[in-house]
Amino acid sequence: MTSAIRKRHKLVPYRSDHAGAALRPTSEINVTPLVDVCLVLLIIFMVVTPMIGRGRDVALPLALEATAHKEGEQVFVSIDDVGAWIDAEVYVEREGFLRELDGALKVARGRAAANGYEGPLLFIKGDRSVDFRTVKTVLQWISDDPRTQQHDLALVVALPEAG
Amino acid sequence: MGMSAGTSGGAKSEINVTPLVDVCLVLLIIFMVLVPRNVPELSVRIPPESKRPQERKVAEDPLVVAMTPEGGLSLNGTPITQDRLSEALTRQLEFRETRAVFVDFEDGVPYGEAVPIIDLAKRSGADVVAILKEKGEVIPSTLRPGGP
Repeated sequence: MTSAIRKRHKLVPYRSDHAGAALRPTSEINVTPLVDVCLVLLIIFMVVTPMIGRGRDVALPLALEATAHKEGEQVFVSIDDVGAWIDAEVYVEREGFLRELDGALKVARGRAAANGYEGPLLFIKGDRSVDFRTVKTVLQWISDDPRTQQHDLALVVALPEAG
Repeated sequence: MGMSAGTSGGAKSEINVTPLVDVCLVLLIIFMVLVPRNVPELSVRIPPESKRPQERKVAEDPLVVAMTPEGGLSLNGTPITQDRLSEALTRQLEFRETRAVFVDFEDGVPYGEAVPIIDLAKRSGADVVAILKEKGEVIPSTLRPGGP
């Protein structure tokens, strides 16, 4: 009996791919791999987002010439109309800002020493539209406190060709 | 019985690598996006508050570039255009020992207009750009407008 069925199926190879009536061709697209990849992406971005310390995104001012440093060891402080941002936290008061910055700088100093990085440690990302006074105030806070004092403060800029 | 997938759909001994390749490609793209980039920056300094009065007579007059909220520039108090400022700074800095330029932007100048002037000073030959601090200037303890 089995050989008879097989023989019949061989005559109709198109139908023989499907195991009988239980698996008829379906018209729906198979979304399982798509969902798999999307979930992996979601998890990776959840893990990675707090790890990249590029600071809050602001509209950087333009400059024609600038020194470039590879990112990785620095502390990024973003300044916009809301206040001064370290990672995802915004500060408007001097003491809270300096305490947080001190902690972040300690970590960055350790990392810089481990990797032999000797460039500026503190990168300031000011928004184009923010009053210069706000930026100046933050710079003065930093330079006025022995915990956070730096030799050079780096103002992050955008170069025209970089967009 | 008789519900097997037929001869053409027999058990295959190869592992299905398609999902593996999918996930690897996604990982590759993510790490390509996350690769450390070069950050362009302009270094500035804030001169520390001198605790004692300076005895040493400064040999050279400091170069102070000021800017008003309207965008008017001046060099050591003399109004100047942006093109002339570059020339003047290049000329003045050429024979100096310490090539420092001080910037003194008034309140209300947008940061986006202040930075190009710092850039201009650097391109005109300044090694150090410092943000001028008034003597006895009180640093506000909050960024809120109108705060102390």
